[in-house]
Amino acid sequence: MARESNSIRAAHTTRGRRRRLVLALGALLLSIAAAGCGSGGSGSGSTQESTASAAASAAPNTDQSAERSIQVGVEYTGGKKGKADSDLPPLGIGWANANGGALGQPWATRSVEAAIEFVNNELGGVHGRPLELIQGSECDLGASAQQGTLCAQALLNNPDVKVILAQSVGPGAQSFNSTAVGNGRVPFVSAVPLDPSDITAKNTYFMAGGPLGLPALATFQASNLKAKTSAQIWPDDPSLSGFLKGYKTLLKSKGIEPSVALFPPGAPDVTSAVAAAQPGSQDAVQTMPFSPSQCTAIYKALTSLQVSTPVLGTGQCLDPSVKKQLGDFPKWLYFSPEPNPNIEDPSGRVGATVWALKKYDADHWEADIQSSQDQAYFGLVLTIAKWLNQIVPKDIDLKSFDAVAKAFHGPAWGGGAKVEFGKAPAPALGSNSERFSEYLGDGKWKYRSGWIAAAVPGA
Amino acid sequence: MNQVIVSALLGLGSATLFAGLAVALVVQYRATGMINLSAGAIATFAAYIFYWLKVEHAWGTAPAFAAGLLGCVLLGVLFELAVVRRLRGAPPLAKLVASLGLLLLLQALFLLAFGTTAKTAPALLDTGLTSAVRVFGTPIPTDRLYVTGILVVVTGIVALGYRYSRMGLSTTAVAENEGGAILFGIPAQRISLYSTVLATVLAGGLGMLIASQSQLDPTTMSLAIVPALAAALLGGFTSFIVSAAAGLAIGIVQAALVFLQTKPWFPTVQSTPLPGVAQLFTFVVVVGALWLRGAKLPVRGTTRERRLPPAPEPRRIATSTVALTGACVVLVLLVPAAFRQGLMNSLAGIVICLSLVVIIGYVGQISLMNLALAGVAAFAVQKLTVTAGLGFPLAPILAVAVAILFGLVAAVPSLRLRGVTLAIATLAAAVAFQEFVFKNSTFGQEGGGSFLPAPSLFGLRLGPEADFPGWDGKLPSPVPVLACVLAAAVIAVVVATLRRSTFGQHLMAVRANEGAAAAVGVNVRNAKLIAFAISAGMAGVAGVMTAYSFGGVAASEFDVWIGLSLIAFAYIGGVTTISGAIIAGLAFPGGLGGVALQSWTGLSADWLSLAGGAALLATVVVRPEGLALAHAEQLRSLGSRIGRFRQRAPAGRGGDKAGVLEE
Repeated sequence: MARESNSIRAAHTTRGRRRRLVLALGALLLSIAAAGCGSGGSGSGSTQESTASAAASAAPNTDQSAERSIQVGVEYTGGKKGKADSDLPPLGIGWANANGGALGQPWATRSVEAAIEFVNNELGGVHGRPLELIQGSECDLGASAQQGTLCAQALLNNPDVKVILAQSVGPGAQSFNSTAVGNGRVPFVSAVPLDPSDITAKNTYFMAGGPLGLPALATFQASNLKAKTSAQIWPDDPSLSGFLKGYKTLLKSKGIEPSVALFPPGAPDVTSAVAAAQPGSQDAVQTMPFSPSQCTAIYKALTSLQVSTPVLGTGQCLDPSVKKQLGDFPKWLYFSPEPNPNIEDPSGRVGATVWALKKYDADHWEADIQSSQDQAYFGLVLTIAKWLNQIVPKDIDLKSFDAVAKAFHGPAWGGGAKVEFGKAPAPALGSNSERFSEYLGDGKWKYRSGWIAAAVPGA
Repeated sequence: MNQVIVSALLGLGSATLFAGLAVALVVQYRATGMINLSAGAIATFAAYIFYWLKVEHAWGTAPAFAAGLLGCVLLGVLFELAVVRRLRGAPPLAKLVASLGLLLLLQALFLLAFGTTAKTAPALLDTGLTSAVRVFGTPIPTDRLYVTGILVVVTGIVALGYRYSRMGLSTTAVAENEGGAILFGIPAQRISLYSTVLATVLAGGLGMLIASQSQLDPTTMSLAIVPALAAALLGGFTSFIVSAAAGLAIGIVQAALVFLQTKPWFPTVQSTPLPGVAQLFTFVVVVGALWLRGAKLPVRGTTRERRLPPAPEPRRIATSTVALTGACVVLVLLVPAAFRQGLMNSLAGIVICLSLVVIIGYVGQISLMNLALAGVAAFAVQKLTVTAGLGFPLAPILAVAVAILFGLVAAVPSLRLRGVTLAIATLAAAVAFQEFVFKNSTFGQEGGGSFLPAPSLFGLRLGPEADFPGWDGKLPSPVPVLACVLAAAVIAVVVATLRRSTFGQHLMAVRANEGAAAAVGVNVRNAKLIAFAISAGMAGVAGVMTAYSFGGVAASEFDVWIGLSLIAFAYIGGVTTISGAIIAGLAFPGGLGGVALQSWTGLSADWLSLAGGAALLATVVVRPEGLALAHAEQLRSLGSRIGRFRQRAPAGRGGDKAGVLEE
């Protein structure tokens, strides 16, 4: 215990130094990433249009059979077809998310719960034992910073929690991550880091880079769109401003002159901010909406300003409410660290996700899977199940979990093709790539690139 | 220059919202003396009704709009009868807190009814997305122009109506001398009702008009209240036309600033546009206007206006301190781990509420920026520790000093301002801190939050993992909680001693009447400055406690709405007493009371917020003096009935005297 505490302390004291190092390297990260991506990207695809799936398709993953879906799930997790044995003691997964509050993202909880049901009812659980999602009422990160600390401590204090899975958003995110990331007691798994320093934490595993994946966007604009100028329309949010500086440098290194305008996330009207970036005279427009309504507001602003430049948008623009308001989704280019659920997936994992969500989250899956990281959080549960299936339950600890995580090289369910944990300088970041697709209208899609990897800080 | 003009015109949507809310604020203030912080939330309320009926129930535009207006009328009537009428003679702070209660209640209702995802509101004026007028070659959407035109017409009608109609003239009479107006047979209560309903309908109608250009969520339009307040202030809370024009000007300049931020010569932070410039501009407008005018809001001649509740002198300081500290220590050692963290959150809340007791309760300065000052200290301790490499306790001491410095700077306007004008100025300052300082990646938050390592002293760890004899290993360790108990106890003793000191008497004299205090030799300026410094120092201590407790700092922890909620809780507890601060700290969400309630009831935070808003409104109406004083009164009454206590001076007597003197 004392040794463990010492290691925790050492981790904490060195984290500040690491953080400074990371931030200092942050200025370099994107320019270095330019070199990493400049060769046309990596991963399973390329920066060229994916010829294999270039044919436009409309939601082909919705009709995969139950048998195929379960088979794909069993093969991935290493479990057995059928139900888990409810007489056996469950394995606890601690869960934290912003379920409520102004920044609430309850879809992630629905997605994780559906994945737990899928594993327990169809994939035989883990070593035959059911997975149990442990989420107390204090684990609503959307409520307050106080809740973040309370939640992290509650999960760390609970001996039944074998691994913590979280989506760190909302007012409680910072205080939650300060306590839970690199805690030295229980492994921590999430889709994306909250802060660049998170990717150096011990016993921590992120499947995507979040804003660290931005270099892929620069590569795409330079290589695919042949852009020389790019309007950057970002929310004025401190969690992104640090990335924006490096991103501007990276765009310039790719020969793209950025024109940046920030809009306050709570601004009643974004038209003036959008106009400030002069989108009409640029080769590309990159938007970073945080919500469907922000996306709609940006779309309306771009339309009213009569902008015809190619626009890059986020999954927030694919929420059904956007379609309801605008008649269809914006015919833009979209980037995501997840596979596009509307385009045929030979691996069957996207189809299996859709099948399971239809069964276990019938009311919300259709909206969630388009606009959110539904696949990523669903996939994280399956990946955790896969890792735990490789460890004898009584031996589950930081060391054994770390060993199986580092031995996993992908493809990640709901994520990129290649995964690698433990590699300096970002040992906690397993994958950091994006894939681009284009919405053609009337429900038709096509990929515009393969997976484009983004170099990580200090690489 | 052309681009600046175009950008300014593109900002007409926001500008119209600010202007319309400013007009609604003036309507409400002229008749009731209430500065309604919930005006933006009322606009959201109507917009949600319109959205719900038109989008989710396929109603036509006209009936949905009419239903939205009807909803506003009902809300206005309810608010008037349940709250506004009962607070006619209440202190300005009570009215401000009541409007905050409505705001919290409405926001919680929005979250529960419509969820967290922002909605895309339907257009009331369907002009088509591409309908535009070209100015210098850039298309300006026509819907902005129409909405601004409607606002101009409505403002003109309201101004003319108040100038020439019987109701308008009666409202002016009530505002100038309510007692005299009543003697002349003017129905003051009816005037109040009409005005509240009119203000609600104006805000709601505007909300339905603007929502389609904006985002329909619980906070976006609510936040527009700050520039709207600035505009109303420029209009002296009297002139509709000046207020509307000021609102339009603020919105237009903010939009132009957004464009200017893209220019290479504009100051940047880490090569990105400087954040929060628009909010800083609003703050500068407020302070500049107040400083130049040097005037306070027009004083309303109410029939009877109570001042702040009495601030009784604390008695038996040593006994109370030992007993409460002992009780806390026992709690720390006996309660489950979650309650330990809840207690630690409460202790930080108690300390910041004590800072409010000093500045609001003792000196009568309605400062709404104490949580922002706590944020200054929190970010300062993080920077001093991580960037400058200073350790404990030097870093927190310097951080508190930084908060004091900022507190003193903020005190300068207070030398010329009092009451609600100071409240508005400090509210604008709090927003400027939030947007301009805390969200600045150089001075404030980096990435998703700025990490702060746990403190240690001479190798002894003081953080949540600190060793403690008999500790079960569950987080947090009793050590940081005990350290917080000690800090809170010291601050409480300082406040109690301050109240009983000669300087404390001076502060009370300033609170009662600055002119009279100066006449008897009290240096009012110095008294205010010192009180601001003490209060800022205490807020700084709370900020440092918060930063260490959370293991880092994020801008959202010091959000202006949280600061307002804190003041509301302080008011419920009793903003003039130490016991009131303790009640407020215990009841604050995330504190001991919140943890207990959540753990026993399992209610979500949204439901707790709804209950909190309702409780706030009820307390302000029923117990405007705060729970602590009401409780003390009940105890005294019980004591005299059962004859256990003799006729010696009870706990609140000295304070009652102070209160009587003030009356």
